[in-house]
Amino acid sequence: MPSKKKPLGRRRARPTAAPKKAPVQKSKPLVAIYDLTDCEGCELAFVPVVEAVAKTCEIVEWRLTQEKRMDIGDRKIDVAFVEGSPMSAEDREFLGKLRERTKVLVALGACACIGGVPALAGTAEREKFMSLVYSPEYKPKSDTPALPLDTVVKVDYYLHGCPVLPEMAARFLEQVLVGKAPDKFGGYPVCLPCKAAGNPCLLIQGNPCLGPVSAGNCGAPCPTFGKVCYGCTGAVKGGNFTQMRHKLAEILGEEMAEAHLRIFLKDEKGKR
Amino acid sequence: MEAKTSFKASLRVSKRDIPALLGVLKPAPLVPAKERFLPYEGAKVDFDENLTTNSPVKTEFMPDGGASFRFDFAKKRVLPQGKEPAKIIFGVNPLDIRALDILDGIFLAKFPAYAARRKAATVVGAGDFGKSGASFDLFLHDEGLDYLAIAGSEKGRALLSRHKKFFRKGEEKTVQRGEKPAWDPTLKGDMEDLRKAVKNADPSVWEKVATEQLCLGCGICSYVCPLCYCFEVEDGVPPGAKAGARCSRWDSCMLASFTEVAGGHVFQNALPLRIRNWYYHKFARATSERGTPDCVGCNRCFHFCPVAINFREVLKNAAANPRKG
Repeated sequence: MPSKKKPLGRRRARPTAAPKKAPVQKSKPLVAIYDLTDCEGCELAFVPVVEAVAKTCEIVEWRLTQEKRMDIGDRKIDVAFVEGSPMSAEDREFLGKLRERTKVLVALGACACIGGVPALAGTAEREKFMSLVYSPEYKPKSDTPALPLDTVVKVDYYLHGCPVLPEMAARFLEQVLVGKAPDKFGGYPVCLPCKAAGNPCLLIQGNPCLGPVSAGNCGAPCPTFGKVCYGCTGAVKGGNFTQMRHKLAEILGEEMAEAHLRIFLKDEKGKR
Repeated sequence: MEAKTSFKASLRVSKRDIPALLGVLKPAPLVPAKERFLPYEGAKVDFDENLTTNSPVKTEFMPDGGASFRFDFAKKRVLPQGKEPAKIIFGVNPLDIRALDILDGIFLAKFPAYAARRKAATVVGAGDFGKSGASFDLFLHDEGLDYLAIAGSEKGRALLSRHKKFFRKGEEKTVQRGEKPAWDPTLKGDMEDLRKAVKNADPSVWEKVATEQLCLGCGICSYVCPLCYCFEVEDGVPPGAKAGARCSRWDSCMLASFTEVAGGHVFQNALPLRIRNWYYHKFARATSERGTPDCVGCNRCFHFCPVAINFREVLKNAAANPRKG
């Protein structure tokens, strides 16, 4: 068969396509940031991070920084960050709708990931305190205790921390925006970066430090400044909670040990 | 480094002068055990194995997250290993120097970043020379109110001649460094017996550590161990950067993620298995590979353990409970 190959570089250019429609611009990924019940600290920590990658994405909604929502028609949001805990029927409905129009849903900060500080609250005497602090007539909007986001919707990624650390968030956002799975949390405990920093052990000194069972991705800033780890980054994989409870109970007594471990509410639905 | 065991030395420095010496050394020395050079006469300077610092000497040569090599996206290549900044590590525990002997044997030829860091560093040991290994540049042998300065390399000799005024010449002395491991875990120093004991120990030995001795599985025993050298590989590329580094992050076989493979299976998910791995690697595998265990008896794993698990007790228990059947 005679070869019909032409020498490279001499191929005829393809005929140009028939009349173009609107010029197709490669659009930037759409990013939205929402908050539920929380302190908004993670969002504040997020400001410099978003500024750093602002060129590569489009912020379509961020109540804290915008006066107006951007109209995106029926386009889907590429990455939505949700901070805080859903507390009311309204929140849950909102999350359900958001899930439908979002490709990647990220839980931002401890409250959204594991329940965080609001979830530490005791629930036994909730009603009593409600009526004491507000009034017996007050009807709260919330109908559940603070729960992590994934008790309501499916969450794709978790960005832990109270608040999230800017360096960690920057790396996370970068990875999510290019479509890469972000770094996993919880491979090693807080003790690793804590010992690498040469800190004395707070547990040995008799302080209730949750370092051995908490994810160490944070780099142990709290023990480095002499404060105990209280587990805001969530549980480490394979952490020995039975022994941690024993150790804490030695220091604090059974009841307070349980209260300290409540920060890991999400991981085994509160039973540990 | 000179692998000989007998050294001649005649220069001495007064313990009182050490703070002044530390002040003039350049580059400014890292002093892992500062409190041991307190500036008063007759200070109890005890480099006993029970008085080690939090950070083992590996921290300087295999730092957590240290770059193994750097790469450049634009040029699509690995960048050559550059020079590391010079540093002086002052007052290294003799047992840590022994650990350096073993680390050097493992990494010096195969790990350019480690070799570069080793090359740039001057290791000044201090304490009982009889317990020391060979990987020192200068060793300050404790003689009561004085240190006898023993040079172990050209770098050490250069340091001595640079700071002549601190050292006075006295009678020459021949000193021996320890040849064999300076510790006796349980078994009269017989490493082969220890190897067999750990290898054949009953699983209940490790279960007991996890359940009765309340092991938290935190891995602190690895982070503070001068001979726990396993690491995890992580690429560090700052957002938007054109170049990055492949970093080695500390790891520990006490962690579940240590044996996690693609797909999520974890081979050693149960804590007793992971505890066994720690002991097996140190006291059985290392002995069959190199003839000595990966342990110098510095006791850090015991001192810094939040629940005070004593490895010597565990080894004793292992030797007393061989596998049944």
